[in-house]
Amino acid sequence: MKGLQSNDLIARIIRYRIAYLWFAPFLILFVIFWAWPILFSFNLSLHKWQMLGKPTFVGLRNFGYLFKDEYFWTSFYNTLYYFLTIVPLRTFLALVIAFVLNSPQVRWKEGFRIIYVLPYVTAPIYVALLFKVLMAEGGGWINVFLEQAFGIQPVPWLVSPAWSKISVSTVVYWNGFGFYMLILLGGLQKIPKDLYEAAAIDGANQVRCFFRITVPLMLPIIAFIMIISTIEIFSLFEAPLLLTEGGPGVSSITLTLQLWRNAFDYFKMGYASAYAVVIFLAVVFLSALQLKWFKSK
Amino acid sequence: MFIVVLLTIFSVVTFAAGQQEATAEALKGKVTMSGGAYLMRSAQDVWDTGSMPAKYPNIKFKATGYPYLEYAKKMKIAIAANESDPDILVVHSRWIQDFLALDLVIPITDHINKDDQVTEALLEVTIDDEIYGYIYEIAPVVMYYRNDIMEEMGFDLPTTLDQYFAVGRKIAAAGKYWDLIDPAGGTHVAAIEREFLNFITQLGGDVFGKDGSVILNTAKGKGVEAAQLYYRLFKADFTGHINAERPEGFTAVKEGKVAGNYIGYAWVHRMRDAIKEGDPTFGEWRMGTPPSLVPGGARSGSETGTWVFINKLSDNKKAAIEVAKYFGHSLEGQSALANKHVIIGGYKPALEYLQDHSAAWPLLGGQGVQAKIAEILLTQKVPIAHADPAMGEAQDILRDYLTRMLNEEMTPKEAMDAAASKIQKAQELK
Repeated sequence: MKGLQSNDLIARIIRYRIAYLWFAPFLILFVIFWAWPILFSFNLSLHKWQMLGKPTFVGLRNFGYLFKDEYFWTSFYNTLYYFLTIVPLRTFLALVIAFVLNSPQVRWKEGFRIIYVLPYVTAPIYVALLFKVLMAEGGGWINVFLEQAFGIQPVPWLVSPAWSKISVSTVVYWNGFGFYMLILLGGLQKIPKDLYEAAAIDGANQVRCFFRITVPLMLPIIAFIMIISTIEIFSLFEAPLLLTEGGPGVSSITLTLQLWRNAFDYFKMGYASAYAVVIFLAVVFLSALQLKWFKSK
Repeated sequence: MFIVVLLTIFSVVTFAAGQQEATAEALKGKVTMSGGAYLMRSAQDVWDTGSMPAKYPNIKFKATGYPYLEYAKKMKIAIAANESDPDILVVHSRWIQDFLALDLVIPITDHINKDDQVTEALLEVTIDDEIYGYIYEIAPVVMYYRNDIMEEMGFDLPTTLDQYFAVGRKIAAAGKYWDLIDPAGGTHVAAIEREFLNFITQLGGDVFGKDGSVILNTAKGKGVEAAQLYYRLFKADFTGHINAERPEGFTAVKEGKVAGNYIGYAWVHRMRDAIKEGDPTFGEWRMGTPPSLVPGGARSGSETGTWVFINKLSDNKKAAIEVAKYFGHSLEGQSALANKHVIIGGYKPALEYLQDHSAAWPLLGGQGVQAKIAEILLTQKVPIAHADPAMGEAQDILRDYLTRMLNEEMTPKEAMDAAASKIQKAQELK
């Protein structure tokens, strides 16, 4: 049976060889730059390696240390914090803004879309550097404004453990908002207008329309956004690195930043790979959970 | 007879000159050097404006710099890829033991006179009597102070810890700061873990023993003592909780709020960037020797330095050694680095030379900064923190726990015990 099946596959490949030839470059690149590095990383997580010389097999030791490592749990907690403070609120507000921008009553829609998307098209590194200047404790524009307008003493946005995560969250939120709003706007434009007309005839107001028509019909797109947001937050790197370097202390460090430090600052490639495996599994688990929840709705 | 002697002398001299010419001509090809951005810019400038291009016309020298935290990984990636580039590696103490432990560099014992190098720094790159690097830079801690305020208040620069605190209390009473410590952890020169390492070495302790064991929280390591002193200094009325390198630090300086700062000498570079020469609000700053922290102890310490190594994979080792020697073991190279770029190394003849030939710094009232640092290095036997392959991570761990200690989440002993435990685990995973 098995032999027959592999014969079928070969026959199919020969039969559709042109299609497979077109597909081959992508497949080759995919294997070299995606599949192979992931498999290599999985394997490396079972070794100790400083990038030079041969890796030494240590089994699950790296994982044993990882789950007892205070810095791992701190970075995991911080990453979850960013997820919970950014993703739900950003998704909801992006949907609201998209809903408003999709409304026929709003003028100058294109202009607003550009304004919202501009932060997204700016590279995260520049956004982080800009906010590093704006949020500087002494002489930063935000503090200068707050002091002159409201008499508020300078806030240590980036240099206080109490504020560092809030500051990083704000920057990430601002940087990515436009992208998700645009995706949701595209989805909204596919909803048939007559549904809203029918609802209006039945006496439904805008708010009821939003929660009873828009949200249920947008669930597949919201699910997609939640999943890519999950990937985004679990791979959050530039903002915490450039704004706070993960500090003060480790108060704003993320899993990916901690992974990067272990790999390229401390040259503990095996241990860093263990981080990578855990991040991968966490993203898969959370994404599956979210998909299951959305499917149930 | 006379003619025979004359001819003999002439032959010997011609032969020797010919040998020198042959050596200079024999050394040729590309020689590349890599390290931190500022150090490499300085090296390129010193090479281009010195006598070496004329002496070795066939050597093409290029120094390439990267940001401080980037260059070590770039070097390792290059070496992992079996590249012969760079031929010369200029590495900070945070990483040197890593490079030595991985056997990435060759010994230069036959090309150095160790008595001409500052001993404490040379020992860091000496393994089983083999020397692996020239000292490129040593960064001792110094005492910056407002000379006009000190004269006005009638103080001399303190030489002991008790005197330092006594002067500090009076400075605080006058509404000024005598030191600056950033409770958020600091940055680069003002990083709290670097300041702490200066303290621990001055106290005669260290984070790592020479055998690689973590001694931070032991009696020998004196980490708890250093942490208690650092905490005491932070809590003192005279210490401003400001970052000395950020704009707010220099704003406080220009507002006349700061009368002193106990910090690595490289703060002078930040001053030069932040303060316009002739700015009357800056005050009369000077650089002085810090106090000793224990009776009879060294009046300075150093948490870092940089050393010049030769890449084992270099395919132009002879030329690379000559170039490395120029930067780490020659009067011209070391004095030019010092006078033009304030990079003070460990070559004793150059340090002695700098005592009388130091460039005047208008920003510090015409003081010869290089002369002061050279004097400290020559007279104080400045101890240097021993770097383990896990030193990079150890510094980050120290910064984290010191931050918690300064923010009163932990006592000094708890902070040092926790840091020591974490550093040990970091070593095991390396």
